[in-house]
Formats: sequence, C-alpha cells, structure tokens
Amino acid sequence: MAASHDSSSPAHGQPVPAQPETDGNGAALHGSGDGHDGSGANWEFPRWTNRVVAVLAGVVGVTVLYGVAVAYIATEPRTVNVGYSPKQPLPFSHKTHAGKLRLDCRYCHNTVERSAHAAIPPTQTCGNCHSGTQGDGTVPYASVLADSPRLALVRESLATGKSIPWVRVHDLPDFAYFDHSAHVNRGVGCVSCHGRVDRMDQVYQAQPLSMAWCLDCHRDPTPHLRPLDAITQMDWVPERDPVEVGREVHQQLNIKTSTNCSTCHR
Amino acid sequence: MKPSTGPHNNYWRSLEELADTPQFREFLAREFPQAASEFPTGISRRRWLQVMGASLALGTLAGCRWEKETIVPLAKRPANRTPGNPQRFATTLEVAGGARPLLVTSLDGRPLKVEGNPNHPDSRGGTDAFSQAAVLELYDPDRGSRVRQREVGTDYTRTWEQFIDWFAKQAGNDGAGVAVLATPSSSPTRLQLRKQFEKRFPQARWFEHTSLDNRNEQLGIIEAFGKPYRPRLLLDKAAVIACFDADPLGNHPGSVTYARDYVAGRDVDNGRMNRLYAVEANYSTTGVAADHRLPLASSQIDSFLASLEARVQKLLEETKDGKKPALPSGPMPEASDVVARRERFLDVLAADLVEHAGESLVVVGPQQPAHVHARAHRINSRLGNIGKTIEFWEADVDSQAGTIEELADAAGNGDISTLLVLDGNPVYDAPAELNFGQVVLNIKGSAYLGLYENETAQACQWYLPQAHGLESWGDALSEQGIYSVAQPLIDPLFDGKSQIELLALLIGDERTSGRDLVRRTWAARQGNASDRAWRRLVHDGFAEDSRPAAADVKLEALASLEVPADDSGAAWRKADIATDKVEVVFLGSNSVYDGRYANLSWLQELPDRLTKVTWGNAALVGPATAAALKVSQGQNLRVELNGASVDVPVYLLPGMARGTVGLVLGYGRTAAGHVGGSEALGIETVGVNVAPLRTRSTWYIAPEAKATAVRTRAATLATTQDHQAIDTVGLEAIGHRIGQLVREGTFDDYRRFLEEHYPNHPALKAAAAVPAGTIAHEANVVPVAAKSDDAHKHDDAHHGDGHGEHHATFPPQEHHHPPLFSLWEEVSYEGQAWGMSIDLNKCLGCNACMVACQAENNVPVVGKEQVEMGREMHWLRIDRYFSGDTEEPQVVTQPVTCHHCENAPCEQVCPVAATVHSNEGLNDMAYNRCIGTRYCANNCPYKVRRFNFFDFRAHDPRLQQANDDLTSLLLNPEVTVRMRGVMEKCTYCVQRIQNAKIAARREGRPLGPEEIVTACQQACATKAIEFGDLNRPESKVAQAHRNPRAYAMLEELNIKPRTRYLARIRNPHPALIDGEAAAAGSHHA
Repeated sequence: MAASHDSSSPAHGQPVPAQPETDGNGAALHGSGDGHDGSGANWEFPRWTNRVVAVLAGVVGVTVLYGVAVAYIATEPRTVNVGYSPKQPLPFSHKTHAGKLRLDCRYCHNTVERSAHAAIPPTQTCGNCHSGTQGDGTVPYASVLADSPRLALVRESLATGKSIPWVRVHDLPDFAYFDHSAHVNRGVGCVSCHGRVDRMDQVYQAQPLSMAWCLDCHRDPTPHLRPLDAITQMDWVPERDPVEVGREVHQQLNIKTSTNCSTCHR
Repeated sequence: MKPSTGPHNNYWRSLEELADTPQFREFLAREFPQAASEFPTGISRRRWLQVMGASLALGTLAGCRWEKETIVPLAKRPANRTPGNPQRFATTLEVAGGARPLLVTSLDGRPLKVEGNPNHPDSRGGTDAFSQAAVLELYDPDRGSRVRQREVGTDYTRTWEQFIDWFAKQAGNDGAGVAVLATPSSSPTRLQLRKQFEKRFPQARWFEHTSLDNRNEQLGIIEAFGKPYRPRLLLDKAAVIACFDADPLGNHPGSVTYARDYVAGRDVDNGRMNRLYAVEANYSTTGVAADHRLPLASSQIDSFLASLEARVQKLLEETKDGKKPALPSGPMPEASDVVARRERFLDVLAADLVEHAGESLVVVGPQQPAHVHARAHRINSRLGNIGKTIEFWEADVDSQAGTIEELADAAGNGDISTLLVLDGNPVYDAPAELNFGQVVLNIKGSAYLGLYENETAQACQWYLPQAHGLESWGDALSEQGIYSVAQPLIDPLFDGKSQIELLALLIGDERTSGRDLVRRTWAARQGNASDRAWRRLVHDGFAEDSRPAAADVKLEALASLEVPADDSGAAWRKADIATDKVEVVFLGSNSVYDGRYANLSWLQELPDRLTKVTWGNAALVGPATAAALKVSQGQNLRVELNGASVDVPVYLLPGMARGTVGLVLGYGRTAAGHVGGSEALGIETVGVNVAPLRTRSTWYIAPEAKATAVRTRAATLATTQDHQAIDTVGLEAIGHRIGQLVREGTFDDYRRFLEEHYPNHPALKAAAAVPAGTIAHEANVVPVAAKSDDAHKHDDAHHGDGHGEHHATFPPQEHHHPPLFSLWEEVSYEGQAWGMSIDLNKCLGCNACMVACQAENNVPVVGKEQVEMGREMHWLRIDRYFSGDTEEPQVVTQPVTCHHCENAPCEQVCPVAATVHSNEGLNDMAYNRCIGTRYCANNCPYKVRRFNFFDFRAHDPRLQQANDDLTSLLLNPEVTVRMRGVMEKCTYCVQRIQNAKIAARREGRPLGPEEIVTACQQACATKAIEFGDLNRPESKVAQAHRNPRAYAMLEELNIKPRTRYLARIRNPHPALIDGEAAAAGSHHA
C-alpha cells in the first residue's frame, strides 16, 4: 500500500500509526542492522562501525602524537649528537696519548688559550714523536712506531706536505660562534664539554652541545667552574663541594656570563 | 604639493619629489613599490649573484645531521700563525691612479679586508671605496688564469717560458719595432726596470696612456714653474679654498689625505673654520662640501679665473697698506639673475682670497687646459700661498713617455712590429679618432698583461695574466711623495706575474722575483741594504723620512697669460642655454672609475655619490638645460660629437651647469666578465659606452656637441635615491621635517648660539681671538676637555631618563615635543653601552664606508632589477638631500645605519623574538630564528632593515663549482652568511665587539675606550664616525653625544636611538647669503 509518510506527530492519546516496512518497490525503508536491505542498493555502514571510527581516530591521533614525539626525540641534539663517533682517516687514540701517556690537551691543541679554535695540530706535532725512518735509514730514538702502517698517513703528510683530513666531531651550526679561549681562560675545563676524552679510543661526542645545554651553564656557571690550573685535568675532583669551589672561581675571575643573542650569534 | 618652507631651507630628495609626481607618491606610500611582491621577470638575464637557490638537496634523512665537515690542518704551521686569528700586513695598492697605503687583514693565509694604514702620513687610516673593493677583484673568478696565444683564430694555452722566448725572438738584439704601452705609475722599481729595458733594447719605445690622466695639470706646472714638479695641497693650513672644476676631496689620487686635511681645518668644536668655494660644471664631492658652489660650464672657467685674477690684482693693490678689501654692497642678486650672481661671486671670492692672503688656495681640476692651471699658480703666487697652502716637490725620477697618439702614428707607419701593453685597457678607452682596436689588430705581434681578458686582451695575440696588487711585491710614491712598499698577501692565484716581474724576465735580469727587485731599488735609494732596515720597511709599509722636502719654485714670466682689464665680454657672462648645442664633459665614475672596476659587483651596485644611480651611467643634465632640450628624466638623449653618436638615458641633476651634459665614462664594457658585461658570454653590458665620442681634442671638455631627445628605448636607471623614504607626518610636512632629520646651520649662528647657551665652550675662546670666518692659529686652539661640566646644563650620556628634558642643541628646532614617557619599562644600562656618532660636518658622502661594511659583513649584491624594486642590501646607506634653488642647490649627505634604539620598534613586533636587545644596548639579530615576517622592517622608522628576498649565496649554474670555491674565500668567517627569508641589518659590527671583549677578558684587562672600531668607522677618511662605550665619559663617542650639535633623528618618537648625528656647519660668507644685506654684518668684518 502506498501510504505516504505522515510527518505530523500523532495527536495525544491516539495510537501511533504503524510505520510501513517497505516502499512501493519492495525495498526496505529501515536498516535491518547488517547493511543489506535485500534490494542491493544504498550501502549503509552498520551501526557498530561508529565505534570503530571513534577508536580509529583515537588510535590515529595517538600514532601521530607518537610519531611527532619520536621525530622530536630522534632529531634532538641529545639523541643525534651524543655518541656521534665518525671514523677518522687514521686511528688516532686519545686513550693512548692523553690517557696512558698523559699528554696535556694543550700539547697538541695549543691554540686553545689564545684563539676561538682549539686547532687540530699540524702533522708537524705528530712528527715530534712519529717522524718515521730518516732518509739514510736510521730511526731516531724518539721516533715511535716508525714502521707502523697505521701511521702511514702521518709519514706521507710529513714528507709531501699534504694535510690529513680529520672528520669533525664537535660541530656547531655555522651561525653559532664559539670561542674556546673565552672559556678555557675563565674556569671551564675541557672535560665539561668534551667528556673523558682520555678514555676514548675513537672520539665521540659526549655532550649534546645544544643551545639549551649551553644556556644551562651560562645561566648558572658556578657548578661547572674549576680553578685555572685544573682546566685540562680530566680526572679532577674538587676536595670540597664543587659548587663552593665554582663560586670561588666565579668571584675570583669576576665572571659575568652573557645570555645575549649576540654573544654567540653574530 | 610643494615642500613647505621651514626655518632652515626646504629640503627635497629628488626632482620627482619636488614635482610631486604620482609615481613618487606611490613610492612613498608603499615601502615596496608597485609589483615588488611579484615574481621577477627576466630571470635568464639576472646577474650571477642573484640566482635563486633551488633547495635541490632533499638529501636523505640518514643521520639527521648536517653535512660532515672535515678539519684540514696544515702539515706544517708557520710560527706566527694561529688558525682563526687574523694577521695584519701593511702594503700599498695603486688604485684609481694613486698609491693607497693599506693595512690588509689576512685570515688563515688569505686577505679578507682592507683598511688604511694608520701610521702612514698620507692616509692615517682612511681609505676610499676603490681600495675597499680590492679583495673582490682579487677573488674574481673572471680574472684571466692562463697565458694564452692566439694563432690563426684559435687560442692556445702557453707557458711563461714560451712567451719569453717569443718576445726574445721578436725583439731581437736591439728591440727594433718594439713598443711598450703602459699605464702611468709612480713605482720607482718599474721606472728602474724601464731604464734597464731601454738599455737592453735601445730601439724600443715606451708610451704611457690612461683614461683619466692629469696631463693638463703637469703641463700647467711646467708652464708656470719650468720643471715637472708635483703639487701637494696643504688644505689644513688654508682658511679659504677655491676649487675650479677640481675635486680634491672626492675624485683625486690624494683624496684620502685631502679630505682629512680639509676636515681638520673645519674643527668647529675648537673654533676652526675654513671656507670652501667650488666653481664647477658637474656636482662633485667637493661641491657637496662647499660653503658656496657656483655651477659654471667648464669652458667658461678659463675666463672666470682670468676675471678673478684681475680682481685679486686690483684688491692686492688697494690693500697694500693693510686695509681690508672692499666687498660688494647691496643684497645678493635674485636666483634668476644668473650673471649678476656670478659677478657677485667673483667679487666676494676675490675679497676673501685677498683678505686671507697666505692662507688661501686656488685649485684647478685636471679637466681644465694647462694654461688655466698656470694662471691659478700665478694667482697663488701673487697671494703668497706658495709654500704655505700649496707646495711642490721634485720627483727624482724622469718619467717622460710617449703618448698613445705617437704610438698610433708609429704603428700606422709600420714602425711597430711588437706591442706589449702593460695593464690598462687602451682598446676600450683610447681616443676615438685613433681607432686603437684596429691599430692593435694590425700590429703583427702584440701582448697584453692584465687582470682580465678584456677588450684589449681580445685584440692582442698574447694574453698574460697579471698578478693582483695583493699578490705582488711592488713600490710606489704616495701623493705626498713618500716611498711606500707593497708586499703580497697571498701567492698568485692564477699563475700571474706583476709588471716588474715580467719586465725583469724580458730583460734577462738575474733577479726575477718581485721581492728582490723592490729590495734592490730601495737599497739604491736609501743606501741601506741591511736586513733589519728592509724588514722594518716591509713591516711599516713605507719609509719614514722619505717625504721629499718642498722645492723652492720660481714663477715663470707667463707673458702670454693676460689679465683682462675689462671683462664685459667675458665668456662667463653668457648664461643662455642654446637648444642646438650643448657642452659635454667627460667624467670619471665614482663606482667603476674609468671602467677598470666594471666587473666588481660591489662597485657596480654602489650608488653614485650624487645621482644614486647603480648598475649604469646616465647623461647628467640640469633641469633648465633639460627643459631647453625638451628631455625628461629617464628619456634617451642622443649626443652627437666628433662624428659619433650615443644614446644615453638622462638623469636630471640639479646643480649641473647650464647648457652642460655630463657623460660618465667606464660603462658599456663588452668584455668585462659576468658582472660587467661580456659579449662572448652573452652577458648584457652595464650602462652605455661613451668612449666613441671622446677624442683627444675633446678629452674632458667638448664645447660644441649636439644633443637631442630621442624616443628610442632607454635603459632604466636603477637609483636608490627614493628608496627607504622616511615617511614622517604626512607628505605635506616632508620638506620641513627633512630639516629635522638632517640638520645644518651656519658658523655665525652656531657661535651666537654658543654665546647664549654655552659661554664657556672652547670654540668661543679660540674664535674670539681671531676674526670671524677664519681658522684659529695653532696657539689658540684648545682641545675639548673630557669633562665639560660647565659647558652644558644636562649630562645626557646615560640614557636612563627619557623624560623629554634636553639640553639646548644647535640648530634649535621649532618642533618641540612634550615630555616623553614610555609604555615600556625603562632599562638602565650599567656596564657597557654601545653607541655611535656621525659628524655630518665631516661626512663628504664618499661611499667608502658603504663598501667597507659590505666587505666586512658579507652583504650580498642583488643586481639591477632588484635595486629598481628597492631591494638593495646595503646595511649602511647615504642619504643625499638637496636644498635651495633647483639650479644652484646645496647638498647635504647623511649616512644611516641601524640606530640600535633602546625602545626599538622592530623588537616589539617580532613574533619569534629573532631580534632582541642585549644588555649592552645592541639590537641583536638571530638569523636562524627569523621566519621572514618582515614586520620589523615595516616598523623601523629609519628603514634600515634589509630582507633577503632570494638566496644570494646560491650557486650560479652558469659558473663552475670551482668559482664558488674561489668567491667563498672572500667571505668573512666571523659573520654569518644569511639565507633567503632572513632579515638583516647593521649590527654595530658585533663580531668586532665580541672579539675585542673576549681578547680583553682573556688577557685580564679592561677594554680601551677606542679599542673597538667598526668597519665604517675605520674606513672613513675624515673620521666622521665614532663608536664606543657611552658609559665611559672619556670616550670620543660620549663626548660627541654631549656636543651641542648632537641630535638624534626622530627623537620625538622616544625610541632612543644610540646613534647621534652632529649637525653640519657651513661657513658662508655674509656677502653671499641670499636675502641678507651684504657686508653690513655687524659682528664681523
């Protein structure tokens, strides 16, 4: 029967007229709950999918947040930089030289007190000990490991003047300017930023060297300061409270750390 | 809308502004004019530094770290080298016709920055724009890099040995048919080698040629004194200076010295004040500085000077018994009565010169013919100036050489079979009638030694790369005659050799290194060959006590130079402008000189001092002349002269002489390189080449040329003059307001002001003893005391208060503002407070500071198209304002940098805090934080912020990567190189501040008061810029801030800028001031 849907609400007290089950063509007018209505047309999502969508949205949202968090943490200086240890052209071991032999940092990195760069030493410095065999075949007493193939690059560089291409480990972006002499002369030890280099066979970056990390010290340098005679001492431990020692140095050297942008960003 | 008249002239920046064209209004309304935000067109023709970098390197995300860097130390480090620490070496460069004593900063073995040698008496630390660009020339990838021989149309790379062999075969035993064409040089070593060359090859001939020569000056001296003396102006001893077509302060080999000396005679704070008159056709730097400037056609200056001499003679007679010379009476003639004004000028100038006989000076420029120079020498002699304000010294070298005309003649006769050209570019700039390009092509064997494979190199069979001045040993005599030595700062980058090395090789001298050659010459001169003395010489850069003594000159009879008794028919009395003929004057360029610097982008983009035109040249025409010729700004003017014609775009320059058209040389180069234009490479030329018009008879002045306006398509003129317009309260008040932005006053007004407000000022003490308008003699000069508490009522050195109380400043301003208060919490600056002062009385607008800043701070070059849109990147710009009549205006210049305001409007609007204030008062810029909103630039009232619209450091695909590696040597590693999308501005050279502070802390000592010197301050020849700690009362900048002339630009905005300007003081003669009764002044004679 072709009864039209009466959209007017039934009057009070009157029985609700029965809703037709099918329309004129025999197709069902209401969902049966499984998406199919018998005629094959008008797909509708089953009701239970509403909850699935909600849960799915939640899962996608969490995944996105998770992804963002992973990306953030993965690209943080703490993650990316700490532990970075590139392979060097020759296997120079700080553990041997600075650790076992107890060479002072400044023997090789000798410009650190008067320049912004703690320069990688020229091959000449290596040649002080590793000069190799002389032209006439004699080996000078001071020439250590004169035949070692690991030192071939050094000997070649000394002979030809070609430079050794070391890979930079502690690298700041080009728009940040760091000055070693300003720190080394004012109570900041090598180990504070570079870690226990005297225990590294291959140098790795021990600290993130991010701006936040630098600012931590610039905002309060006292716990990180040490007397000037202990700058290169990797294993220095203060006898007293380090903050107290730091405060003394702070006062003695009249340290005023700057947190202006132009201090590092020129 | 006419700029309203204020109490101190009405100012205007351009004729458009004065006419208030709709284009100008729109320009002002939008900081970036029409379509600036549109994508640029013509990308294929862009200059090589502005190609937009494509961020092709998407790269992999492996590691998420930036590129791996290697550290490559030297295998053997020299003893005095600390990596990263700069070293400074003294040297000398022959630049723009003169020897400049320099101190070059070298970092890790490469020269980076040029400064003046502070110990050398010629410069005392000042430089000019050309020397500052020398490092760019050194690292120019367009420089020739190999010895090349052309055979049957093909170029072959050869070696130096092969060239020497070839030359030996050509020259034979006696050099028959050999000609050398060189540029004039003061180098004693080269002269020595020339003599040896002529001895070795007796039949060889030596010629010299340069585009902007001073032949007339030399001939004039010979005419006047009989011998080829060299002049030495003593501008600091002169009270009255009169320049006739002369530009000693701007375009002169000795301009650095003369600018400094001139300013020394203008020490207002100590009561010294000279007076400068300029009579010229073109508006020069001297004209900008002048107290009185008279525009006069160059050809009329001859008769003008003759009339001056007549008057001077007459007045000398009348005042023999100590009377004061009579001044003309009555008011100054109206601006429209041109001839009467000229006559008045003559009368007053003559009186002034005579009144200060012995302290006056008449100078004539190189464009004027020799007899005009001789006349000036006679006037100076009559006035007793010789030996006092001008002296002469004898060069102990005989450097007479043949002219290029003689060479062309000889070549035409077939006498020349081998031509060796040493530097210069004669094919480009030889006199047009010689057709020198063809002359060279017709010579069978020709060789060119030069920095670039330019027009001359292309005509020659051999090309030989020249070692740059910074790569070679050499020597020179400075303008004052001091023996100055040049040492190389880097080995030749391109297998080049210097002139002296090449000559030594050709002669077969046993010494072939430049060092040995120079040492040998010097040992012969000084008689002291010791190592110690040589090292001393090289260290200092010059030989002390080598300044030649003043020669005792005698004036010749000069009977042919008559003094006219009656000048009623004199040429200078003609003031009407003919429409069918004009007078053309050929001018050197402030940017590319004679064209040799056409490939230096810094100089191409440097705005011309007066016209502010970049990347091109223009025909300079005065407004009245333009009206007569019916030509307007930007239109093409066809100038026909000597059978040739060129079309040049017109620039209306107020103050050009009537009926004169100025044509600027040095443009239209066809083989300059990627920047200056190259036909071979398909790079369009910059500007128009006017050399085809120039013949020897009209070398500087062409009185009869034809000029017509044509409708051909004119090259656009990229000017910077209307950019960064400081938009103050409405356009209506702009004329009045400019008078507050750049302040000036007269010396008499200043002294009256001091008498009223600062009665104890040292300037009054000195001036009282001497008649007004003159300089005080040495005994009376009192230096300004460090503490001058009684001199002013209110110490403004600390900027803690901002409440509108200001001590009296000169000139007094009509516009007073109510007491200022700030919405922001005021910060008080204990410790260091960086500030700067710029003395407008000393600034000549020479542009040296602009190039110095560009070199020091890696400021990019943007190219012509971008300059047209107002996007030039100069951190420091020099504004130029005209005032007065459009035919006889005055000009004042003002350098503007970031003022590092304490209440900076830019800092308040940055959304990401990329620009913040340091606790020392600097406005810091963190480039990596900037996201390119450009709100800060919008907010800056001085319009000093610059935005990197493109990645100007990007690799240009037309060049090989190797060239990028070369040009990156030029960058200063102490300053960040900025990328696209980042704002930048003057930082007060923060890298220098930081390095000085670190050095002081490292050494455990306090900073000296003048220890930190900014790049612009260091480059300035007149020391107009002072920089330092305002919290130290003894520093020069703190003293300058306390000066009664000191004012801050736009101080009523309460942004508290750290830069103050010192008002410019002019010293006009009371009888030449418009609108005042002449000689009736009650306060001086």
